[in-house]
Amino acid sequence: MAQLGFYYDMTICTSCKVCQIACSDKNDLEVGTLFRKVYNFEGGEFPNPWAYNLSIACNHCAEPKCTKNCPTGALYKREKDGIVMFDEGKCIGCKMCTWSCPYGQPKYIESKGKSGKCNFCVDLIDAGEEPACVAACQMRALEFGDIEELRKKYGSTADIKGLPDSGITKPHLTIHPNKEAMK
Amino acid sequence: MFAEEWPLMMFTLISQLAIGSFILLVLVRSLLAPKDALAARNLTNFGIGAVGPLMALALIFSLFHLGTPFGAYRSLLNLGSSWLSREILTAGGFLVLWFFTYKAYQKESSGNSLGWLTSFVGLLTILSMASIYSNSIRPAWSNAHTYIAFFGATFVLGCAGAIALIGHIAKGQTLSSEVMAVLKKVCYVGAVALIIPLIYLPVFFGNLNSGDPAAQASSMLLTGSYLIPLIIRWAFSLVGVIMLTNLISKQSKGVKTLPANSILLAVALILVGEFIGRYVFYASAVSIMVG
Ligand code: SF4
Ligand code: SF4
Ligand code: SF4
Repeated sequence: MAQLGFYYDMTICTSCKVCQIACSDKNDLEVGTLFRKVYNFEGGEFPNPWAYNLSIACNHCAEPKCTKNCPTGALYKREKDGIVMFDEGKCIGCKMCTWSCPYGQPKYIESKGKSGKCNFCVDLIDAGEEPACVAACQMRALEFGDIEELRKKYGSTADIKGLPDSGITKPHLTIHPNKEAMK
Repeated sequence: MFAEEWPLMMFTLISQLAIGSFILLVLVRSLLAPKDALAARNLTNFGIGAVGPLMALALIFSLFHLGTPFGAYRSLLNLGSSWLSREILTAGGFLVLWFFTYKAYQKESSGNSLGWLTSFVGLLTILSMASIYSNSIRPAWSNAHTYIAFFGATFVLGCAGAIALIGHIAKGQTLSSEVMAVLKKVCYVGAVALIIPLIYLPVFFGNLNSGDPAAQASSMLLTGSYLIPLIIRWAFSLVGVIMLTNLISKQSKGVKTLPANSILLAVALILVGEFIGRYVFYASAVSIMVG
C-alpha cells in the first residue's frame, strides 16, 4: 500500500471534538493527554471577527524528526503504509521525540514514564476498518487514505496559519482551509 | 522548567566540566613533560583521577531524566541517526578511555597519545551533546549558538577545573616558572573560550529576532524575564576568569604559589556563572508548535 495520510475539511468542522474524544477513548488516554486535538483559532474585530478550527494528530510525516532523533528506535516508519509506529516496549521516556516534532505530537506520559502518540489506529487499519477519529466524525470532516489520492481529490495544503512550516518534516496531511487560515 | 530539566542541566554541566578539565590537564602535562617530567606527572595525576568519578556522576544524573531508567541501555539502539545515541556512546567511550589513561599515567610520565585520544572522544561527546539540541525544533537551540555555548563552557569549566585540581595538589608548594607559564596558558584558553560566546551573543539575538514566532518568543524571554540572570551570568563568568588569570600572572612574577582561597573564589564564580547560563539556556527554549 502507499503512504497513508489524513484529510481535514476545516470549512465544515463544527469543533464538536468528537474525534478528540474518540481518540482518547480508543487509546485509553488519561485526562490532559491528547493524541488528536481540536484547536480553535480566533481573531479580527467587530464587525469582522473570524474563527476557525483545526483537528490535528500525528501526520506520519515523510521526513519525521521524531524517528530520526529517538535514540531507541521506539519510533519508526512502517514499510508498507508509512505509518509512524510507536513501540512502547522500547521507549525509555527520554522525551527526545517531544523536542523533535513541530506538531507537538508525541506526548510524554508521566504515569508510564514513556511517550505515546497516534499510531493511525493500526489495529483497525489492519482489520480493514477506519481509524476511530475518522469513524466518529459526523460531519465527515476527517478522512484518511492514500495521501496521493487525497491530494488529487482535495489539493495539498499543509501550510496554514498556526501550523509550522511543512518543509520541516513533510507531513502527510492535507487541509481544506477557511480563507482566514490561508497563508 | 527547573523541576523538569534539572537532571539534564547537571549532566551537561558536569560532563563538560569533566571533559574540559581532562583536556586541559592533558595539555598541562604535555607542555610540561619535556621540561619537567616529574612536575608534569605530580601536578596532573590527582586531577586526571578526579575526572572519571565526575563523569560517572554526570551519567548518573542523566538517568534521572529518563522516565524508564532501567531501559537506559536501549538508548544505544539508533546510532545511525540519533545524536542522543551517539552522545551516550561517546560519553561511555570517554569514561572507558579515561580509565586506561589514568592507569597508564600512574605508571609512567611520558606517552600522551592515549590522553589525546581520550580528549578527542571527549570532544566528540560535546559535539553529540550540542547536536541533540541543535536538531530539536526549538529555535533557541537549533542554532549555531548551541555549539559555541557548549564548546565554550567545556573549556571555561575545564580551565577552572584544571586549575582548582592542580591548586589542590600544589597547596603550599613553590612552583617553577615553567609550571606558572603553563598555567597562564590554561587561563588564556579559558578566557578565549568565554569571550567567543560573548561576542556571538548579538548574532544569536539577531537570528532569533528575524526568525519565526517561537524564535522571537525566545528572544523576548532572553531580553525580558531572563535579562537579569543573563547579566549576572556574564558578570560572574567574566569576573571569575579575569580574577583567575590575574592571580596566576601575579603569582608567576611573585612567590609562585597558588593561594587556595582566591582560586576557590574565582572558580566558584565561574561555576555559578555557567550554571546560571545553562539554566537560561533551558528556560528560554520555546517550541514551534501548533497555536
Ligand atoms: S507529526 Fe510529529 S510525531 Fe508524527 S511523524 Fe511527524 S514528526 Fe513524527
Ligand atoms: S521518549 Fe521514547 S519514543 Fe520518545 S524519543 Fe525517547 S525513547 Fe523514543
Ligand atoms: S488515527 Fe487513531 S490514534 Fe490517530 S488520531 Fe485518529 S483515533 Fe487517534
